[in-house]
Amino acid sequence: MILRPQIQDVRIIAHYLGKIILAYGATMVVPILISLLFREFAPIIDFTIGFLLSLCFGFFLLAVAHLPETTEASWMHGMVVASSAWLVCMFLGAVPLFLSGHFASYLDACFEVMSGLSTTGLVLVQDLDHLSHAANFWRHFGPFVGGQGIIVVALVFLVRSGSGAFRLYVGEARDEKIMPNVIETAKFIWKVSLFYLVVGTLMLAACGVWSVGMSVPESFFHGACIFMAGFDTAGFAPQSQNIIYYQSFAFEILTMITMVWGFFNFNLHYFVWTGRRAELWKDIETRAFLATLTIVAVITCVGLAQGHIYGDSVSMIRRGVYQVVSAHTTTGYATIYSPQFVAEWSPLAVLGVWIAMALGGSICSTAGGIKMMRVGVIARAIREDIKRFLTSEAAVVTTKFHHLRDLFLEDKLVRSVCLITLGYIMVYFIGALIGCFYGHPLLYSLFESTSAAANVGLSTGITQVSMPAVLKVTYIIQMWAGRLEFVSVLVLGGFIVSCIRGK
Amino acid sequence: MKQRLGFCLAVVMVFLALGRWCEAASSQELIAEAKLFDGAHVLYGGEVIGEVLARGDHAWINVYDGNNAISVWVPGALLEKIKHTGSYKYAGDRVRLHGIFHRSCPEHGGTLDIHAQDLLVVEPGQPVIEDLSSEKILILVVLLGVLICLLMGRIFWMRRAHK
Repeated sequence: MILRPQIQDVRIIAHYLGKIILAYGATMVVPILISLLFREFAPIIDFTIGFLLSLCFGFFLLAVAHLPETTEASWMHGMVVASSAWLVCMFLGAVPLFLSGHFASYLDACFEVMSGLSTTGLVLVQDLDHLSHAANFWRHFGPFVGGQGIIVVALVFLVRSGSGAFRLYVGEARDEKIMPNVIETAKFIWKVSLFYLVVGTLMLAACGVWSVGMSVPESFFHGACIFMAGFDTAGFAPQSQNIIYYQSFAFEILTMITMVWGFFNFNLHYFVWTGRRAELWKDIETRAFLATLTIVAVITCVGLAQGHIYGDSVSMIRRGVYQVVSAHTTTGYATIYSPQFVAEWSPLAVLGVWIAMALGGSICSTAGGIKMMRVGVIARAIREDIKRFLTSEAAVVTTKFHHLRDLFLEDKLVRSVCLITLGYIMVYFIGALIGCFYGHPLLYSLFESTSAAANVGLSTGITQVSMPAVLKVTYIIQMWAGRLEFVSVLVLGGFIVSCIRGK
Repeated sequence: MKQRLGFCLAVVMVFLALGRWCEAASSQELIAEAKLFDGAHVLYGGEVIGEVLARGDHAWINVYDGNNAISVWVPGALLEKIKHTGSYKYAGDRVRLHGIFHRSCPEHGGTLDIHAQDLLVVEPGQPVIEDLSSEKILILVVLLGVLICLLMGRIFWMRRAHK
């Protein structure tokens, strides 16, 4: 028998949701400041409307909930709050973008915001090259907020420390605490991210001035935007040509470093931060990444060599490796045009990039996809099973691996890893099925679907303003569910069902 | 208008006279049919967007034709014609250019580009006037009123709870 949630459950959810919306609304002050800096006045009104709407909704929810500050959230509350917060933030964040007049519909603006928050990078904005600095900054600030975690933002400023805070944190697909206290963990994530943002912006801005040839103010603006979208593995860029716009090898190298740096688990950033750099090379995720990156890069380059697109091997490796690194870190920066995947690249090369996207980045990072920890565990489990067949029946075969600490490979872990991997593969294929329904070829539908669900952002050209609304909604759901790793989304589904059918 | 027609006719005449193959192409055609156009002389036009990215005696400009922007490698002498580039505050100069299209440019690390040989500004860029909508200002005022009411209500309830 399904139990209908109590009114107290709804009030707890509304209470935390209200706080998260207030924190998210407060972030709209940043594009307002950017508008003032660049003397753009119409965006100030757009973002003030978004800001006030968020505050009104947040305070309304707090008034409705009317709970004391000491109220703790249960696991169910944490999961429902985390998943629903992402949807509500999508609707609110889309308001200023829609008001900018650069979106064909409010759904397109919602798509763009979810693409940013989930660090995907698929775009539906129109006439991007004439978008205001404020709206453009907001597009890139979305990945920075969503990548670190909307909940993490709220935890730093508005939520009291306690078990409820930890449950909210876990609901956002972050099951590894860096520090014993979850609020301290959230503060550390933001401290490190802001430090990297300053350093990354300075590096990219310097490159923008000396190598790309941009003006100083634009170099800083592009540097900040590219770093936020690169480190948070989103792949948005301020110009419609993405990285092609810059036509600079040095800029490509810097963005590759940014993408790889963003790929790593935040725990590993903590180890680097505290001087334990050896952990970076010992970890199963780093090793799995290096192995799979080499394999998919070889597959892609062989595919490109078959197609005879690039005149020399240096050009071929430069284009091929960039797209593979971008796909594997689930960033989505591109140095080729989307239609070139279909028109120019051989199916083998596209398949190489697809495998990289599907495998994805690290656990507890901003990257999406199946994740290297799971790939590494599955590889070890297969090796252990083969070993078991080859040794005598009496022998006890155990496997150890290093992920933050030495761990034994247990059946329970392998089972949970396989279940989530299966979940990702199913979501990739469900999206591909819907793409095929609308007449797109299987490989390209699968590519686009995987790009959405693994939060990558590379496109074969299927994602465009004219695509059917059903496909847009499908990709929004895939981006949302992929970023939250399904669990909290499934709990939200269960919560809605229990509200309707519960007794 | 006469100037534009004159330029187009002059370009066509020059290439017919030289017996060289020259074709007007859109960005969509150039990207989708890159193999077909590779190494060909093309006529391409659109708005210059972003910034002029200077590299020594040449520069990159990005020309947007309504579908995609294509990077164009332009010699310094032709750059003087470009006065405005497209951004939030400006509609960029609309140019018509002739150059050699590369599917994978050997000089620029395999990028898809056009090396411009001639360029004409067919429509100069101009500032874009911002539209400050009165409807939006009205919405803003209403939301501000709602927020003040909610905040006053919250303060009232909090004081009552403390008592």
